[in-house]
Amino acid sequence: MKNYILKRIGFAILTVFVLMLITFFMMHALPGDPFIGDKAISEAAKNALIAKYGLDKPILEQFVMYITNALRGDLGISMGTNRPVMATITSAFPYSFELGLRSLVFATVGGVALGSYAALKRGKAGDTCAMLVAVLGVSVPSFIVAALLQFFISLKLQQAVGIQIFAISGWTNEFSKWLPSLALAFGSLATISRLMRTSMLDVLSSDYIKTAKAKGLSNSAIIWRHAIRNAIMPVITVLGPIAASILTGAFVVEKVFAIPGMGRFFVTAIQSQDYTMIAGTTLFYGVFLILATLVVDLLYGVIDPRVNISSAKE
Amino acid sequence: MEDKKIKNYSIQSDIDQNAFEHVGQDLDSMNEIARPSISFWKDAFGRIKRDKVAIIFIAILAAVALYAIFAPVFSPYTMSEQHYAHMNAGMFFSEGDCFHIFGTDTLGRDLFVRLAEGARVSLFIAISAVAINCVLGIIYGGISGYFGGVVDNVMMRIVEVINGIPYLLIVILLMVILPRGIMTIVIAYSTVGWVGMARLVRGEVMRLKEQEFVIAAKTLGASSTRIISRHLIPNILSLVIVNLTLAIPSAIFTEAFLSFIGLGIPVPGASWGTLANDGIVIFQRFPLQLILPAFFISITMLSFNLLGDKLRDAFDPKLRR
Repeated sequence: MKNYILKRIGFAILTVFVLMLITFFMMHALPGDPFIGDKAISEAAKNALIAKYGLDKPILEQFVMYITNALRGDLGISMGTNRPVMATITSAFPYSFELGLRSLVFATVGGVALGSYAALKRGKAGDTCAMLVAVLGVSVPSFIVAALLQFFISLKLQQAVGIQIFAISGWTNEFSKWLPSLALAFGSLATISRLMRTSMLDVLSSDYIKTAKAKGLSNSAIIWRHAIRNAIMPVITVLGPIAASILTGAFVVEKVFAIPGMGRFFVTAIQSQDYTMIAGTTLFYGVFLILATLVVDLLYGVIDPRVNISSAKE
Repeated sequence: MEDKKIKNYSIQSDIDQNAFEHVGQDLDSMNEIARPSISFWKDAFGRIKRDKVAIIFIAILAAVALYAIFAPVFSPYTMSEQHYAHMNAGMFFSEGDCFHIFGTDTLGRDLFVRLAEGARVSLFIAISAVAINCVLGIIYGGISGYFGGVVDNVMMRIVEVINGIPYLLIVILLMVILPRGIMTIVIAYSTVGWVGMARLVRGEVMRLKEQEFVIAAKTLGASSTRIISRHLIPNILSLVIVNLTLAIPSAIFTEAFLSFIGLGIPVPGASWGTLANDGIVIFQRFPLQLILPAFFISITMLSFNLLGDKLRDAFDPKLRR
């Protein structure tokens, strides 16, 4: 167990290092020039800027500089806005984080409920309906869901009722947060519900469920205490990748609903070739998600005592 | 001697042995074949053919493909031709000798042709990216799974590191540094997309290589290349086909996602993603311009997803009758 944890942590560190290497070298392979957008700056000012960002030093030295700064939490100064990248991240990330967390909770609870319901109603109309929702969720991209929700629920409902319930955009009151979270969660909810259905069907046909039935437990006790608790395990394993897809998916949902999160800064940074901003944001997101996956992996062993992760190879 | 035994038993029993008749083995019935012998592939395609739902999805995909191929050829308009007289026209718009089935966009361009051109681009990107991933994944996973040991260990550690980084981040970084274009999206997607297929193929190869037919082939002196190409790959093909079908919608989604954050193909061109991106700007006034590309993206992804599920069932040997 201890070995396993150490190995997983070692891997996480290696992955972070590779990610740093990729972000650093890719930003340096960029065509164009980070000062290209600025209005004709003088040669002297440009040289001063190059010296300031260390762009004239050998590449290896720049990389070492980059890593030591990153470890101190200094991701450099944005070449576009001239603010520290970390300051932008700390001001924008809470929005993205809250949106992501709400979506994750929504997707997990909704997906588990929908999947269990479908499994319990196997072959009946309820199953077909639930799986139709699931397959739609996998097939409709989140930005389309976001735009449709925005149009039909905020705009049309507002026009029909006369008062505004769900704000069309922004991230202000409680209700304004529902639609973006729903739009972002929809795809993951569908994935989870499909997984949950398969796993639940597996569990429902196992011997211990028959035993529970035979000893006369009520249906609800069987479902809550025996079936769902065992069937939920595969769902926990995919929570890491799901969190990744939700957080990266937030870029588009934030754009549709005009939420001042990380997505907006990231997209602007891409368009203005803001080296440090792109590298900083990617690195931050990557590290965050690598840590999230690590935590999920380690928790899995704690939650399910049957899993002996120290002997498992993958 | 046989009769004696039976007699001995019958003495202790109350049942009269004469009530029974010894029939022996009916050799003819044992040699009879329970069902006609059909190959795995024939069986799978037979099942797909009988499945009405699967046929519907194949028909939808064929219709989308035909639309993509023929609409730009037969339409009187080109994708960048502008009609200033009627911009943002609705469905089935006709005025004089102008007729736009899907209406026009903000610049007065015919959406019927643009969506077909978008379909060409989106489907080309999705299919070629997935095909490249598939080939890379089979080669990498096959080598890793077949040789095992140190080779497998090293190769899988590399895969684990790549897999640890969210693929969209890497794709975005690559898109930033490469020049814009269709092939860029394909390349960016393939640099990380093969990992999933490689893991899958490796697992399956590891399982298969311990089986008797591979050991038999080895005993007969078959070379590694022959075993991989003649015995292992045909056996993992069904798995590969199912995952290929299920990977196409995710490639379509990635293309749309990239276009949506402004990393799509450059302006005169159009893909479903860029069309949706254009549509979203004026969505509240002209919803049709988002709904149409959204419909095409969704229906194609839906068909591939459901067809993949059906293919998985059709290829599942456990469901074979």
